[in-house]
Amino acid sequence: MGFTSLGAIINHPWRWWWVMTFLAMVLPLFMVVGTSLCLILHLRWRWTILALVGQYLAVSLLVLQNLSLGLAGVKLVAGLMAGAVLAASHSTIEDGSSKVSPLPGRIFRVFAALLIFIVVFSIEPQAQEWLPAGDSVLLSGLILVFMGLFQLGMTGSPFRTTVGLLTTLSGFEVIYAAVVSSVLVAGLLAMITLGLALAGAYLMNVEHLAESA
Amino acid sequence: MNAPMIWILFPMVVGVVLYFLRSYRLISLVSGVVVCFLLAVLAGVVPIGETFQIGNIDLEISTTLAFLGRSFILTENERTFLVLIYCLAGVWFFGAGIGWLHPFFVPFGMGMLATLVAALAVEPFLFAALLIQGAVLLSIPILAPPGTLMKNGIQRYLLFQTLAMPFILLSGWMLGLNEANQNNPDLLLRAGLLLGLGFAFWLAVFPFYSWVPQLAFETHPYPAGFVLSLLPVSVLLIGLDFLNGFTWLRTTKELYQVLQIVGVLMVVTGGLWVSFQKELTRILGYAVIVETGFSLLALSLHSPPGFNLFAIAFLPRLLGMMVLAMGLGVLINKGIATNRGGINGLFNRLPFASIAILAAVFSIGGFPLLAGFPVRFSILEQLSGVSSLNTTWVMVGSLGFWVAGIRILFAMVRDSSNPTTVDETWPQRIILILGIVFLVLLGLLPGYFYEGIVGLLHFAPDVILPQ
Repeated sequence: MGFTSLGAIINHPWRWWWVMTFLAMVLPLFMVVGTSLCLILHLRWRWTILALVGQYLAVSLLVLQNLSLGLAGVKLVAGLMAGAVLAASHSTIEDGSSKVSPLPGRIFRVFAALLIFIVVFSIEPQAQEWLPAGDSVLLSGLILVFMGLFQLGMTGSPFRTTVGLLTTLSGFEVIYAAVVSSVLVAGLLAMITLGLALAGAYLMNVEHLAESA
Repeated sequence: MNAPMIWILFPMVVGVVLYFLRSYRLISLVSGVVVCFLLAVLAGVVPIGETFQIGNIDLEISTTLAFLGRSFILTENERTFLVLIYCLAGVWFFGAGIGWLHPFFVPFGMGMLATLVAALAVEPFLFAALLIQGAVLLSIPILAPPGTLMKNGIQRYLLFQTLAMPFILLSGWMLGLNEANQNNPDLLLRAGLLLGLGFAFWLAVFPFYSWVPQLAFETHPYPAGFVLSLLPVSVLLIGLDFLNGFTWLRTTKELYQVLQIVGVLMVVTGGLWVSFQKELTRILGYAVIVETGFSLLALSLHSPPGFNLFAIAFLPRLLGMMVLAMGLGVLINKGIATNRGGINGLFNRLPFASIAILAAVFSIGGFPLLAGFPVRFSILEQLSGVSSLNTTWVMVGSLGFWVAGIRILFAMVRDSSNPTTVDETWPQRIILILGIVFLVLLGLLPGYFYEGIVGLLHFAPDVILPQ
């Protein structure tokens, strides 16, 4: 039966519409959930950077629903550069931010994240009254904002703080792109994303830099 | 030639050039001081948007610089602000010679100045949020220069300042939407809430201020004083600009009630915490909180005298912060611990720095005959006409600084039986004496100094009109 239904979808004349809808709406939402979950688990820094890059990919897909391909590309490039800056800085140092969270800590974080997802799904209809954005955009944006705030509340390391700030800001960018489509704002936000990554990289390394730099 | 090129682009370029010359600390310092005072004098003397003559040549500095479809506008109304901010920066850079001569200070400081002026000049206003964020990012290398031990204060500073930006941007969008919907009350309420939250994060308003004393404690007091002077003052003025721009906002009575409650809470909590403080550098942070509280109280009066006091309060605030930071900077540069134990008997060793710290703390507390007194007294006088209960609480908060000052005084004169040689250099003594003299002069002759600063309100003409 299932196979028949799948076959029916594959042969349906509107199949590309379904595929595109899935790609544009559902896939980014799943990506946001997955990557933000990875980020709060405090995995090794390489996995964290990969999750951040994946998150920016999801953000650009979400933004694409409201902005042009060029502007979505700007967000993706800014995110990739931010990830590259953080990765390049992190590879030069060995500090507490590389520390991997123990299993009980991870279990706690997963439960906290589940709670956040439930809260976000329950407040989304009310948020829709304030911010007229599509369901997937608003859900993804809110998840990113709340997961970013959660990360910020759970860490004292410059690396994790920067990742948390970037997550929160990318959530805001997803929502904001649905209501404002200014080229200059998009450009400045991309600069701020990069600036935050640079500031984070600087703070991660500041103790090891020569005083006369 | 136009004004934004002179007061925004030029200092930005100077900052970039000085970054590459940062190894030559003295050249960097002197260039920064000269450029800042030059820009301040230029803003004070040259009219903007009007024709003037130099010899036989007619010149005009136009007001607007268009950039990617947006405008940066500096008019005659912003001249007082330009004089204030560039004078302030010039004095801070000059004082860096004795306070904290770091290669990053002047280049990044110039960048911060230019970005803050740009934030005030940009149209439409919502771009100010992005530019303020730029200024915050530029302040990071000043607060945490290379080699600094990384702690939480600076991260929390970055975090809270960054969180402000989304709220301001969203409120800007809602306000634009409201114009199309002809004053929809729901939209206005939401926009007001978001705007309030944004400014609360920016100004470290109660209860979002815990990072301020932490930052002051964890960083060198001189750069912390510079950033904590420049940023809140600029944000307060941008807030005034917002009030000027939106009639519904400035005619909302609830706004002034909220400002008053928040202002009282900031003064009371800041004053109480400071009275128990054993660490002197944290006092700098509490000073920022209490001063911002008084500025909000002045705004909450919602009357022409209240707005005048709001503008006037900047002068003692900035001077008090600077003298306090300079005094603390001298202590830290000599490797003296800034806690209660470290300052025991300090008066014998560093008399000028000790007096400077005491004068600044008492001035911030509104002690009679010092710079803070006339403003504090006038705000309390005006506030008493509105709410005697709030006035009493504000007095209690101010007394916290008196208590802190008395405790510091006792610690500093303790162990005076062990005479030691005075350990301050002549440049340090001269700059500290100048700071103390101005703190006293502003208290004794307020009229002479405060007349000019009221001109700050010119860029928000609609606000000062009686409603």
